[in-house]
Amino acid sequence: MLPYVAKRLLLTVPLLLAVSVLVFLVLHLVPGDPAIVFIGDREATPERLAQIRHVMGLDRPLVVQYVDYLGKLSQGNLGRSIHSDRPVLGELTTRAGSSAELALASFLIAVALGLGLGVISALRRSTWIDAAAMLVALGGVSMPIFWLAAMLIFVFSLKLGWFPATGFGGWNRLVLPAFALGFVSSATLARLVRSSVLEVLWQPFVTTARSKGLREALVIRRHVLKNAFISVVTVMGLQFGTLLSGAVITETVFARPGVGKLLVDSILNKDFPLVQGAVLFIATVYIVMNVLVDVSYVYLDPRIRFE
Amino acid sequence: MSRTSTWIPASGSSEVTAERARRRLLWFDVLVRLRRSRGPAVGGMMLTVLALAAIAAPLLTPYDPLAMHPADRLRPPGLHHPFGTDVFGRDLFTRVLYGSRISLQTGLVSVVIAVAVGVPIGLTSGYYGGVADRLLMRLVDLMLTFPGILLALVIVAILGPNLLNAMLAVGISASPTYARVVRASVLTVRELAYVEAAQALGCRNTRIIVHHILPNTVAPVIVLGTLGLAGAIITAAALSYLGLGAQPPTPEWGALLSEGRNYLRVAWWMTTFPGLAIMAAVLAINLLGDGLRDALDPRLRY
Repeated sequence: MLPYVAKRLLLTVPLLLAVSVLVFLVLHLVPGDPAIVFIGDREATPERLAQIRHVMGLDRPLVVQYVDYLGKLSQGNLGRSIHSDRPVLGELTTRAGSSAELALASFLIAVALGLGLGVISALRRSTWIDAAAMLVALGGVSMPIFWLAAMLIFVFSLKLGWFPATGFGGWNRLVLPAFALGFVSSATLARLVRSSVLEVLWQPFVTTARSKGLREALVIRRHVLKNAFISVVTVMGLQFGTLLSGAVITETVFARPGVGKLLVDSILNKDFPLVQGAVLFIATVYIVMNVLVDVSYVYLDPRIRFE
Repeated sequence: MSRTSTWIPASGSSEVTAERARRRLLWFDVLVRLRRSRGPAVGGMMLTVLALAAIAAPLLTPYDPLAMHPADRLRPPGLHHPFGTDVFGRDLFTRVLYGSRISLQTGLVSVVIAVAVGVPIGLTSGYYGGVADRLLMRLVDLMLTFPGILLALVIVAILGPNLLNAMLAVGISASPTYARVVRASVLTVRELAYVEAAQALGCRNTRIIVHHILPNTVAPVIVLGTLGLAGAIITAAALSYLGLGAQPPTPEWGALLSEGRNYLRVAWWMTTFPGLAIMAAVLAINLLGDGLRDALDPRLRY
């Protein structure tokens, strides 16, 4: 058990390093001189550019620059935003709370809706309930999240006035964005839950459970759902990635001050230190979430524990 | 493969004709399976209508998608303007119609880029194995570390926001999935007797890859490409919506939604109709893709 978790954690180190290389290279891959990119719309005299090059270390070899970057990274120094001149780490941490709140709330909605729709349609296979649930799921898969978000704002905040359309703070500002994000993610989940429940439903051990006289509810709960959830957890982990990237869009539509909106704004402002910081932050969260998903298998599936 | 291992396909022999007939039968089988289920038929029909509308756009509307008519600004949907007009008095139906040209094309080009990048990586990785395989797969793993739209955002951040870069970004960020799937099918095909036979005959590796291995990866790539088209349209629209793809006044669907954003209170139609257009296209493609997947390669299900 412990060696497995340790091994899984160890494997993330090279991945995180690779991500840091890519993020580091972003500034250098932008066509043109990084110093000019850095100075943005401000006046660029040759002296000023030379000074920036020196201060940023751009006049040194790329490898040295990367090692330097990594050294600063290990101390939590992600550079300063060009736009606000505040430390990138500070900008990220002040917004992480809002994003975490949105991610958690929409994840709960996605799981509740996805499991509900998926299990019901599998148990009522080939009835109108199944068809209706899968139609809802297909609609969710096909719906652009920014459109659903805009429609929710139109109906529930502009017409009915039930919830505020924008901002952060309080549950009533969370309902609409969390639902928009959660619903779109639940659709994929519902389709997967349905097919994995259907797969387990015809396994011999389910027949055995029934033939020994177990109540149907117990058969479903103990034998069907528990086994079906192993594959569902994988996708839930992957869905978390969809959720993270969906949050980028959702936060922009609802003008929520989160990491996603920060990323989009920084791309539009050409604020590259902030772009690098936000990308690194989101990728790291995603990698950590995937490790947690892998570790959770060990609890869900005893077969892995004994391997 | 119940034949003896020394069997070598001789061109022009009856075995090749039999193989061709078998293949034709396979595709016929796929068509029959597709026709049997309702979903793909509905999806295919919707998609055909959309494509025809995109092609025949100038015949279907008397308006110009870009010409402004300030006198007609923000008209609600009515007889003359079925989808209403936007803030510059442009007919929204016309803009959505012309937008279908741009959005469908953007999706197609993105998928072509994804295939052009992903398939060669998968073929090389799967066929040669060894160091090349390990290196390429690490690269693919790295790209998959960036969830969903994030990699596309990074690429747009590097290249700058416009429609062409958005297509590149969407295509490149989708390519790892193609590489993975192609590699998996190459790994199974590589071990088959006819590949060994071709190698024994002294065929060059590129010839073996192109003539013997590539055709076997076509089915999963078609399925992925179809479902990927839906994803590409949504992602490209999302980029445009965020201001990182098509720029105004281009009537791309995502850009249209973005234009409607500030007028939601006074002009709901500016947001509703472009969104419905995206949904219709994506739904049609998903229906077709799901059907294709079931008919071509049931293993790809989830």
